[in-house]
Amino acid sequence: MDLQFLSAGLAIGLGAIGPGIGVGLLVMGALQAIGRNPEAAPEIRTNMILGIAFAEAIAIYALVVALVLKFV
Amino acid sequence: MSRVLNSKVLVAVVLVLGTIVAGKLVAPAALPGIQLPAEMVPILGFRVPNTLLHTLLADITLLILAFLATRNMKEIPDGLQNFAEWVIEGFYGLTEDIAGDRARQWFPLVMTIFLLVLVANWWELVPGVDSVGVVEPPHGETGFVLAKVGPLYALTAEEVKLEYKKEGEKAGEKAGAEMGEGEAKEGEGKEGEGKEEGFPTTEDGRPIGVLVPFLRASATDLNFTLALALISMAMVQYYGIQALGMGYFTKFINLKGGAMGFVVGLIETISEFAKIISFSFRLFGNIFAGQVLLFIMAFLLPWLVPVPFYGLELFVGLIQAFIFAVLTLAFLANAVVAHDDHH
Repeated sequence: MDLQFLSAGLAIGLGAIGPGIGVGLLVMGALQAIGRNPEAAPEIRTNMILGIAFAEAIAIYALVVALVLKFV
Repeated sequence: MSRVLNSKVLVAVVLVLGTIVAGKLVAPAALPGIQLPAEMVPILGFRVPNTLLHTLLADITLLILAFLATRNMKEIPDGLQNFAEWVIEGFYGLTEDIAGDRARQWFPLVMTIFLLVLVANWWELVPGVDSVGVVEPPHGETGFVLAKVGPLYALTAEEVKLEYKKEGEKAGEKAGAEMGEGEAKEGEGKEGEGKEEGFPTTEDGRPIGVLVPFLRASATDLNFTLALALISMAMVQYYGIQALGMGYFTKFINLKGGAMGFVVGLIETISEFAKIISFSFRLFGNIFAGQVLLFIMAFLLPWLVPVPFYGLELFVGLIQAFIFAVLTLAFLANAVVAHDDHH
């Protein structure tokens, strides 16, 4: 079995753990904030989406590494 | 239990599952070639990257939309002008929130980035992109059996490993294998440069080839995303210098805060370069992975199942365009603020 496939799988598999936890924490914070102050929900939502994009970018780096390992 | 499992729900579930299974049996699709660099297509005698064509398409779309929205402008807008004003005003409000009084200065740059990336991302979802192109002899080890549809070739779902060199001269005319159809991204092809006789063939004479699409989403090309990232960060530096003069560089070469300040300045410098990489890879990774996801989904289960993934790609395309623009804005706003002394 080719190491190429194994490495690609490991890269994205392990690389998605951190951002997964990160996004969860972010949304938890956002939900708590909305719970305290429902009127500010749109602003909180915008900032939450921004934060999620940052956290997800790390997962995307891992995905790009996996794709490079598989297709190059 | 009987309330949930009544006959209507059961029939619907069976229909959906049946459609999904039938899709795989009746209309299997070829897996499009996935490679990181953009493929070259022959156009008017030149070999042009297909992402470049897609970017041109996005440009032309934006120009046409702008032209249509601003001719015969009315005092009370309606139709396309109304929609355009809604989009621009909405984004301008957000720009003012983040940028304050410089919103007017930065808005063209940020809005252009947003619109270009959005249109480029959304064009990827239109049928025809990534599925219509030039059929060429296989580049690698495997290819798909071709079926002739009038003057065009279509890729069937039969994948064949090439066992001998590409010397086959006979172009098989038999359209025997199943054709990929339905919601799958089917490979249709045009003849490229008189390659009628140039395909390797299977043992019974059917030609084998691969598809090189005419259009491929711009953001799947690292050149496009890197160019946008460089432009964004270059403009950030430009506006920073314009606002703070040469004092802008004390953010990076900090000789006043002692050793600690110097290291912080070093980290800031590295961070500026990291932002370029982060910008380009965030957009590239999202859209490229989305493209691969759509290909694989259409290949595995052609009917019904790719639909939620199309919805996901729609959403991701919008969010990534928004993120790119808003992040540029945030960095711009950060750059013109004088380097405060927190310590």
